[in-house]
Parts: sequence; structure tokens; C-alpha cells
Amino acid sequence: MRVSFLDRLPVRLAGAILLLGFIAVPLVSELKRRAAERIVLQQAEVQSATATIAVVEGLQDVLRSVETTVRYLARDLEDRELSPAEVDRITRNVMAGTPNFCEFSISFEPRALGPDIERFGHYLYRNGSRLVERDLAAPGYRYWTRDWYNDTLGRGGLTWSEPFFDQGGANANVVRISAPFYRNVGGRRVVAGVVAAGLELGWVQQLTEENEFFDTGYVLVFSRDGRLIVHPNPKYVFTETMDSLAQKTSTPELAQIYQRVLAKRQGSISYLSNTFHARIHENYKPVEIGGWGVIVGYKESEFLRQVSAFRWITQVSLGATLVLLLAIVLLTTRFALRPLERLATVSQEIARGNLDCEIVPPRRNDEIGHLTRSFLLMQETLKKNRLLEAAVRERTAEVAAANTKLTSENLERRWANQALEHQLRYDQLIINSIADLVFVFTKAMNISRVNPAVVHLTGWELQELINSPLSRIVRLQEDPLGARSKIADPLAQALAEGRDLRDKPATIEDRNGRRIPVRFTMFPLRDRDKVVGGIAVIQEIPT
Amino acid sequence: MKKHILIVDDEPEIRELLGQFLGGSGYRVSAVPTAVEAQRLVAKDPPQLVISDLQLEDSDGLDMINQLKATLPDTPMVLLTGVFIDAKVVRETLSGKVAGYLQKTAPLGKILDEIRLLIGP
Repeated sequence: MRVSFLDRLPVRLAGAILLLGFIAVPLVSELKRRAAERIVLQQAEVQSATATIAVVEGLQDVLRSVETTVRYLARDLEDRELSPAEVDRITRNVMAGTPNFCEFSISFEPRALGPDIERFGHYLYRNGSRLVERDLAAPGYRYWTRDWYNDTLGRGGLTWSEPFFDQGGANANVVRISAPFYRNVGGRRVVAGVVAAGLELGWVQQLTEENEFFDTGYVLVFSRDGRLIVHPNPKYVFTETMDSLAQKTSTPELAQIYQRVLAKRQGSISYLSNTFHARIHENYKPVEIGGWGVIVGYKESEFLRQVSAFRWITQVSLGATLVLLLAIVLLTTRFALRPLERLATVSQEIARGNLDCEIVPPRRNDEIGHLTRSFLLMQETLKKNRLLEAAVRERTAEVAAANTKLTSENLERRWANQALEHQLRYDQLIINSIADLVFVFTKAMNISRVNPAVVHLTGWELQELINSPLSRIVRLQEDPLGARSKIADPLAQALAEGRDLRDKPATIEDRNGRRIPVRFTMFPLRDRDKVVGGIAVIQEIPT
Repeated sequence: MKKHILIVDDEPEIRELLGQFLGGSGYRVSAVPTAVEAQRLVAKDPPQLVISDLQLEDSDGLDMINQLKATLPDTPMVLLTGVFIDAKVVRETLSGKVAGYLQKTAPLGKILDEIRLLIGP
């Protein structure tokens, strides 16, 4: 029987491996992809969180230094007798010593600078490399009417303004920090004025750009009121707040982040962004100074690309492993199964009855070698068995034939015996049924058989009659002398001549010696025309 | 399908031997001792041949054959005769009533030849 291609063991093994591969490779690849995604995104989040902290710390360092400077100046001005010239000097010194200030001002409460000076407010701002001086008490400005001044006095401490465009001053986006300073009047600490410093916000953008984030990374910095100070899209800077942008771009997540930052909470969030048209991940953290907030975000796809590449590499490597495994299996099974295929062919031949097919004796001692030797042994045994079976078959057939013949012969014999018994029984029946006395006698005239009527009439026992001379009990009356020696003579003569004697008067002697008159008839018994004896029929004469 | 032969004989040995022999010769054999049982069996399982002794315990073989012919008009009936009946007499007097006659003293082979002649192997 020829094994079809699809039923061959190497093909089946290869098919199983391929099937396994088709199931396992995508499955393993998908599982690895998910695991890799999880790991990569976790790492990205850690990096993102670290970057967020870096930006926040950077902002806080600058803002804290500004706060420290302003606080120091406010304290330095306390209980100090100043003149307008000294205020100008101090102001110029501050501007010279703190290049990150784009403006600086010292404003006094009425007559706080001197009894003759009702109001005094001195303001310097940078215009390129030079400093420009302005009088804040001038009728066009009147600093005591400004929110920044009154709010600072109202708060009584350091106050950060919302970012704003300083029109007519620094002409830049700035944020202002202001602090009141005091005088000791009659043992009371009385507000004497406000020092204020302005920071141009360009440095914030620089700070965020100095921190290298991911390729798709971006930073958002927003103020306490949510105004965007830094945004990857410059058109939103200062023009939009977190709430307005959230509404404008249908990104409620921005509003959520803003609220959490206001609540001094930090965290992260992933969502599908309408602004970036991608799924993004954002870490957010409040800045401890100024009420600002920072968001560092990135597109998850940037990292998932790495995973995709990793997935492709995984699939290729798994595929290559599969091909290698397939090749190994095919080669191994081919090497291992070739002898088995030969044995399969041999077994088919043996199964067909060809016990003389050739089995090459093995040279290997592995399992296949043992199997081949077993086949050789089996072949020899089968040959012996075949001879034995043939002999047994032949002998069985002979025995069966003999048995059939014997049975048949036995049956024939039993039937023949039955027929013989039947014949004899009915012959006997016929003789025994005759009421007359019947004697069968031999050629020598000795009685060989009698019927029951003889025994009944004469009283002689059968044993006494058989083989006795007929003349012992039967006497023909034709014998005038009555000599027993002569009685048989006419009878013997008739028998010798083959003649019948019919209805002759005679007597028969019973066991008591009484002679009974009878009629005597004799017929010769012939066998193939030769007289072999006679039958005498004797009828009792009724009295 | 094996042909069915009914043997009716009051002698058990005849029934056994003849049944065994005809069974071994490819026939299906039923053997009963009386005419009543023969009638009952014929009604249940009609034979293709009836072999009957002339003298039965409860009936005369010829009478029974006449009765069976009413049920099995086309079935050959064979008389099995003993030494009481002279073969010549049977042949001359009963040939119109039975399909054949067999002597109990005849060899089995001859009996089989006669049966095959009547109903085939």
C-alpha cells in the first residue's frame, strides 16, 4: 500500500509545526508586543514624569531666585532713609545686578520718601542694552491707581501677577513679582511702598527647549489663571487659556488637568488628542511658585513605533526559528524514517504473503536497528509458521476427509445392520407366527431351528431339540415296522432327491414319551439349486 | 436454501439414521414418529418431500399420505417399506398413489439417488 503524500509522517510533522507556528507566532508576537508596549509606555511615562519634574524644578529655581531677590530688596528698603537719587541708584544697581529682570520699580506711599514728596514711583526697564527711566507717579500712569500696587499692599506679601504684555514698557510678555516694604513709625510697622520686578517670559520658552524631550515631546506652561505661557503652537501662547483651549479643541482633558493643578495635584493622563490627532500621554505638575502649572506630553505612537519594529523583529526571528525547526524536523525525520519506510514496504510485502522479500540486515544499533532485526526474526518465524500451517492444513484436511469417510462408513454400517436386523426380525416373526410346528433341519437331518409351536406342543426345551436328529421326535406312519432307524429313510430320500413330501401321516413324540398323531409336510431348502437342508411343517390333527 | 424433507417412521433408529444421513447430504430434515405429528409439522413447515413408513403407530402410512396430499398436492410422497411388503406388489399397486418407494434394507446411496431424482440435490 502506497502512503499518500499528505499521510507521510514528515509531511504531517511539518504540517503540525507550521500549524503550530501559524498559531504560536502571531500569539507570541502579540503577547510580546503587548508586554513590550506596557514596558515601553511605562518607561516613557517615567521619562516624561522626570522631564516634568525637571521643567518644574527649573522654573521654580528661577522664580525662587527672583522671589528671594525681591524679598531681600523689600527688606533692604525697610527703615532706610532714602532720597530720590538713592532710589534711582538702588534701582539701577538692581537692574545691573539681575539681568533676568526686564524692569524694576520702587514706589512709595504718600510722603514715605520724605515729607515734601507726596508720591514717588521710580521705574526702569530695559530697551535693548540701555535702561529707560519712567516716573510712575506721572499723571499718565499714577501707580497708586494700579492693581499691581494695590493688590500687593492688600496681600501684604509677595505677589505674582498674571503674565501680560507690557505695552509701553518692556514691550514683551512679562510676569511681575511685587512685595511691600515697611517703615517703623512710632513703634508700628507701616507700609512704605512696593518693590516690583518684571521677568520677560522668553526664558521660560528657552528653559523648556533646553530640556530635550522625545521626538514628539512638548511642554505646556500655564499661569494660575490658565493662560498659556508656553505651547508648541505659538498662536495659542497668551491668546488662550487652558479652559478656552479645551473648549476650542474639544479637549476636555486640558480643563481636567488645569483643575487638578489648581488643586495642587500632579499626575498623568492618556487620551486621544484633537490637537495632535494622535493618542498622547501627558504628565502634569503644579509649580510651587506663582501658581503655574507644567504639562509634558508626547505621542504614544513614538514609542509604539519602537514596539512595532520590535514586533517585526520578533516575527522575523520567530519565523526564522520556525523555518529552521522545519528544516531540522524534515532532515531528521527523513534520516530517521527512511529505514522505517523500507520496513513499512517490507511489512506490506509480508502482509501480502510475500515472506521472501529482502530485508537488509541493519548496521546501526539504535531502535531502528533493533526493529529491523525484529523484522528479520519475524520473517523467519513467519516462514516456519507458514510451513507448519501448510502441514497442519494438509493433515487437518486428511483427518477431516478420513473423518467424513469414517462417519459415512459408520452410517452405512449402522444402516446395513439395521436392515439386517430388520430382515432377521421379520423373518423370525414370520416363522414364529406360524401356528403349525416348523422344523428347519440340515442336510444331515439334524434340527437347526424350530418355531415356538414345537416347544409349546412337545414340551421339549429348545436346547434339547437343536442339533438333535429330526427322527428323534418325528416318525412317518408309512414306516410299518416303526423302526426309528428307518423312519428317516423316505425323508432322507426325498431330501436327497430334492422332492417335497406333502401331508404325510406321522406322529411326534413329546417330552413325556406320548406320541401325538400329526400331518407331515417337508420342503427341501435350496441354495443356488443345491439342497442344503429342509423345512418340515407339522400340523396337529384335531381330536 | 436447503430443501426440507419430512421423515415419518415409528422406529427411532430409522428416523435417526436416515435423518443424519440426509442432513449430511445437504437436506434439512424433520423426523416424527406419528401421523398426527406429521400433520402438525406440515402445517407449520411444509416440506419438499415426505418419506413415510407404511406402518405407523397411530395410522397407516398410505392413509396419512392421502391426507397430506390434500395439503401438499404437489409434494412428492415416498413410502419406506420393510420386508413385510413385497416390493413388486408395492410397485404394481401403489405407483399411482406415491411418487416412489424405498426399502429399509436398501443401501443409503440408493435411497439418496432416489431422493435426488425426485427433488434434486
